[in-house]
Amino acid sequence: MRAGSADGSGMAALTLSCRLAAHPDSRCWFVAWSPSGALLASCGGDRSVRVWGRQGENWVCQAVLGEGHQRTVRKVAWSLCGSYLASASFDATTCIWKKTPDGFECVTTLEGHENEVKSVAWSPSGSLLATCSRDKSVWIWEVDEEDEYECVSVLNSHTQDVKHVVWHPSQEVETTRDPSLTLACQLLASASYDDTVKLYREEEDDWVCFTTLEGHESTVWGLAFDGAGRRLASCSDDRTVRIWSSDEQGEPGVACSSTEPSWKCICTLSGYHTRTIYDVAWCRLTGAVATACGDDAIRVFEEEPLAEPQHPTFALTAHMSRAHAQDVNCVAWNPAEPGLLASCSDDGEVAFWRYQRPECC
Amino acid sequence: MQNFISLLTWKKMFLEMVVWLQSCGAFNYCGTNQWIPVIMPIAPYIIRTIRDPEKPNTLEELEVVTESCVEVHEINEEEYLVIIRFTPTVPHCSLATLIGLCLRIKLQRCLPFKHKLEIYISEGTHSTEEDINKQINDKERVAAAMENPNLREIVEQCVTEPD
Repeated sequence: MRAGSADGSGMAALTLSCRLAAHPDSRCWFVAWSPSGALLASCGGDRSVRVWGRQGENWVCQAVLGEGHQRTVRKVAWSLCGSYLASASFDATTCIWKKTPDGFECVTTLEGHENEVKSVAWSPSGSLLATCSRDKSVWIWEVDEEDEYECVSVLNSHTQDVKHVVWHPSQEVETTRDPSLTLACQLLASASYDDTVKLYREEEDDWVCFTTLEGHESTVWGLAFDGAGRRLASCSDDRTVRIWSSDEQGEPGVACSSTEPSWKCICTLSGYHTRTIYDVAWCRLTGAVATACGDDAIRVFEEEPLAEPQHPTFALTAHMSRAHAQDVNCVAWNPAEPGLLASCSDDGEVAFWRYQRPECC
Repeated sequence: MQNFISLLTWKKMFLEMVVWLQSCGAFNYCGTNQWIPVIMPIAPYIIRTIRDPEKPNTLEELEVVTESCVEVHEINEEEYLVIIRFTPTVPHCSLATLIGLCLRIKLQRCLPFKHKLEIYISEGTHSTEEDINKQINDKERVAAAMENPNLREIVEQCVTEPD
């Protein structure tokens, strides 16, 4: 299967390399690459997490983590070191699995959310974990050297179900006005059924929501920072992707504190997706943006090189219209191998794709 | 979905829902695809089989619903978009959500062709209808609701065909 760009320009292509019946008779909700890119974890409505490894050109199941949850597993996330996997479930718990020579072992179960946990993410520092839930809250957990987890903050900023959380890729958040004033803290973003994205950081030992990104007209399902952490992509039930930026260049006459980068929407991709966009992934290696859509398609966008940084434009470089037999729920770029993309769907399958960049980019 | 409704109220809801669903016969013909007139009656036919396990009533007897509509649009040569809109006269928010859930589950399972489904409830009152529509069209919320054993039991009773 090959899919080129809509107008035939450029030489972009998305080709299928492997398809797996990962969660048969069920739906696959999410896939996540291990930090080395050697393993892919998937999770689904059959309440299990599966870990897949490469065997030649194929992917084979290396572990099934079936005993951790009583309901759907919605998302999985690998720790930075690759030794732990966290799984977020509709049973209101988050399991932490440790990789052992024999497979994976559940070392702890985090409880506290009132209902379904929708997302889990490890901070780049490795010492924090964030979870979010239909109970409208975002929880931040601290983990110590003895694998003990403690909730250090419960953030109730959203007014509805929180769908996704993602950490800023850096350990420190810089300002562009005065690079010497670096905020030595981590930044967290959350996406919600309340149509907003919120950003959080630690201020004087307490986590606070410091800004709300408004603009989407319906539920925000997914988030992805670019490699440098200067931009954030969000995708929504309103069938658009929005790109938000924290740069302040080109804003004459606006008085702001030099330690307060403000985020605003610098680009909206609309008219490409015909149904809800469930996930967006921004490749750290190539800058390509992939989307997972309820119209069964996977699309890839690349930033046009001659555009101004504050007014970027993105071109659609690949469109695989029947990537899956049903809604595509997740897309994930391999962190080590440029152009390798994994996806999963309501049809229970996981697919692997090779994205060939267009020659013009 | 909230679990605050008494058993008596649930039974009343079953009755009202079945009556309304039996009425779901009005539809609009959209587009020029020759297969749509064949496919279109399928959705209402399937919906009509949703029942109250104890005793069905007719629309005329209870006059529950003012109007309903089923649209079928072609997405591509093998897939159709099915849009269902209905207006229950009983302005009961939980009933409307339950109806939406049953509709979605029943059609998902029984429509014999590849489809995408949208369900809209118009209560004729003001703010709650948007909230209900957003919930019943959020597949993650629907999936989680169906993992709630109490809710699942009720929905299964409503959508299962008699032997």
